[in-house]
Amino acid sequence: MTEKYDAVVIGGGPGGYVCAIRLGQLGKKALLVEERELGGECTNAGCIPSKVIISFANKFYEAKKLVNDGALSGELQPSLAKLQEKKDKVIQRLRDGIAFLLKSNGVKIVKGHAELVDNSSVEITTNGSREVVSASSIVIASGTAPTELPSIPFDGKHVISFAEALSLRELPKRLLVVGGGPIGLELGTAYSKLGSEVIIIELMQQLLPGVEPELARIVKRSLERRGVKIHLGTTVENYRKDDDGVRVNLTSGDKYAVDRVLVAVGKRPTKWVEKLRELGVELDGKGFIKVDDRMRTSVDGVYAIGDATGPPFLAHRASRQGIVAAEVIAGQNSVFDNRAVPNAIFTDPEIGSVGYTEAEARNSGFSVTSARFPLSALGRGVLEDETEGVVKIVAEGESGSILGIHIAAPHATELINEAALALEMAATAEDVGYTIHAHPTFAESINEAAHAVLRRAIHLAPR
Amino acid sequence: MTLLKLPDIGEGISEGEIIRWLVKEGDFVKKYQPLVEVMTVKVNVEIPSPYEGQVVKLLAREGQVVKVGEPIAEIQTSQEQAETPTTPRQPATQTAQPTRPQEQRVLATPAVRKLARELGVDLSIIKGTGPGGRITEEDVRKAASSPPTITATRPETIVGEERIPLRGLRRMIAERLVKSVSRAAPVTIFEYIDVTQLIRLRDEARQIAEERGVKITYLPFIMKALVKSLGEFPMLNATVDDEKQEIVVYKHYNFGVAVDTPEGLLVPVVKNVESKDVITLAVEISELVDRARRGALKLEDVSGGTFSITNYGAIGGLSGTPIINYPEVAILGVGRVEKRPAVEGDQLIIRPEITLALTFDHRVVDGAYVSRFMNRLKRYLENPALMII
Repeated sequence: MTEKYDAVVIGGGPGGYVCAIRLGQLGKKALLVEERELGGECTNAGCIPSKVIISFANKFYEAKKLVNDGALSGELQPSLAKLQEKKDKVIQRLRDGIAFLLKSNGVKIVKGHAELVDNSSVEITTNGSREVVSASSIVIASGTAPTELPSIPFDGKHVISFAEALSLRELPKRLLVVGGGPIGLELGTAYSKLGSEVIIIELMQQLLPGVEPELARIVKRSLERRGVKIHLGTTVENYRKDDDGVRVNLTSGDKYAVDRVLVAVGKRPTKWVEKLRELGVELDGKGFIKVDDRMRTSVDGVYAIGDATGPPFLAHRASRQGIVAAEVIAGQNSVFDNRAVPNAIFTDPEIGSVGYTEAEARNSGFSVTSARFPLSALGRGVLEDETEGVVKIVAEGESGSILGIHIAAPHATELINEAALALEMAATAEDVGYTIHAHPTFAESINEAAHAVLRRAIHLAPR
Repeated sequence: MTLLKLPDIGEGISEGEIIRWLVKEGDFVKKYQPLVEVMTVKVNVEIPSPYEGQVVKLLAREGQVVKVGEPIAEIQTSQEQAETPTTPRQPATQTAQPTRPQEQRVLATPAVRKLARELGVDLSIIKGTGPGGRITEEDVRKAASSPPTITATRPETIVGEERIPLRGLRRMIAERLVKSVSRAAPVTIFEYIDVTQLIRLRDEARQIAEERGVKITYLPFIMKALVKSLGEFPMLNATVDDEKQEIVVYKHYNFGVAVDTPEGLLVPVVKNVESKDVITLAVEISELVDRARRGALKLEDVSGGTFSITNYGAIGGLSGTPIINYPEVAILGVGRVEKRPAVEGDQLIIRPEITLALTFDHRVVDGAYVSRFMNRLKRYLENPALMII
């Protein structure tokens, strides 16, 4: 007899496991199928391990500055082998935590490969043995795969994706990063801080395409000051492998011999998702699963969440979608109607961004007023020697209703959550300006930027 | 994806009700293919597609009132389809797609949005009373308890009663009339008119008209008498501009004529009555009435009125208290022609009469002015020959 579930969730990443826990909370009998490890790309090859490396690189870099200033003495040498051990421990601990939470919410976990038979049964292959389970609802949270560049395909050794770049046991001497998006910049920053010579190339004319241009410029300046070479409007012309690594010719005419090439140009739909078409699941033009605001696909009873539904590829978005899907399955009137999904980029300075950029707001027909507050005018910025940053607020002209907040600053990835709350709460510049922000903090710059929207910032000279 | 917004239909129209979608989600449409039927305060219009492409999503439901500029549908234009490659080759980055709000901007907190979902309230049609136009919890609760047009939850049907949603033209009529009585200060005055001579004139004109194949009623004569009288009392040939707090007095005479149609009341406008003769007026009135009943009125047929007439006498009505066709200042109600006993000198005689009822906006003019106007109108109607003087 086939086992029967209220819901089968395929994929144990930040979309799938959150969905399964919420299903459990709502009293649904749920099964989570994960082919590899719980936590998905986020925990195992994305957000978490990259932040382990970035955090280590930041500490190393700060210590090195102290040595250079003469405040510390000694020879500093990073150990990537040690770092990998630490990373593995962190990942293991988080995986265990996820497993524990799933179990304590009554979710059954199966390690295996899942295939949809129809909209109410799933075939699961575990160690060669097959089993078909039946499910009233199926949630697809299968994620994406890294996009390969035909001009320089992955070989897993010299030409690598972000997954391998997070597992390096030796520091690359020279690292070429193809793709100036968040992943490329985050890892490029970290390895340059650890001592690699880093070159970043980006096809567009701006690093971090889609991010408020001023923020991208701040990050670019800061990278270049640390010796990172950046080529915009550039891609790989051709390459040749030799014993030492890879010789790459760029379309800009520059040539580099490097020991590693990190290709981070985005993510693509998996082949697994492609097969869903046969069941009638509609995919969009790029091959991502089409869903409505209740996470329903075009096939009754089949839901999809997270990266498999297309960009923005963000763990926190996937989690929110997972909660919505679980609640909809449990019969609740829940929708994904979030005003904005915050974006957190762990560069130096960090970038936090939510809502419309100024250009997007204007293109969408809003009457826009915007204002910026630089960290150089902020007490905390000066005392920490972190004056290269800015908070920019984009608001609707008439009402002062906030359309977007964009931050380049230390801890911007933390600060942005206040901004996201402001957007969800339909706050105006007046509201944010009115709210007392503790002193001396970086968050004060948000308060001051709101005042600046109203043309009454305290710590800016009148213009 | 391209958002199709409710276009500016002109004539100061700021909103319309979605009557009927002529396409479904997923349909392919040609440029200029009619997409949706929209009813405005004045007429029904069909909105054509400005693009060729596929209708991805209908953002407004039938029965919903949409403001000009608000999105009503999402269309994937054929150009966009051509631009979307099936294999992503361009360097997509994690942030290449801006994280946009999911729907058109509604200013409400998550808790209020959730409440709205639970109560079946469409936030996009509610006006927020909170700071900066934010929709408050109270706004949602209020909307939920108001007529079924705004709430999605239908009241249970009770045996022995039928519930008909207040929709379409009915709702337009309701809203306009309520606006009129809530803004104007209406007063109605009455007058008996001896129509002995008017009937004689009409009968003589009828012969001339019939030679030209035109059927003639009393209405064109009343219009001509009105032009003469309003010329002397111009404050009644006027509208009120609430926003600017001004009275707009007109030197031309455009008379709205109330027409009973199967769908409900419509008020087409006969333009420049002062420059048209009785027979021309008769022809124009009958054309407008015909168009109104066929639902073929154009926007210009129903706009620009300076004064209105409701001729309920034609279907046997005696008298009433008409409601002003806001923002006009006055409306004349015309009762049926009937023989009545009257006193002439000390003699009781029988003569044909009609009862006129004039409702006016007391904010604009006072009773004495209107009484004098009514006496003047009476004089012209009782002695139509005076009109040529």
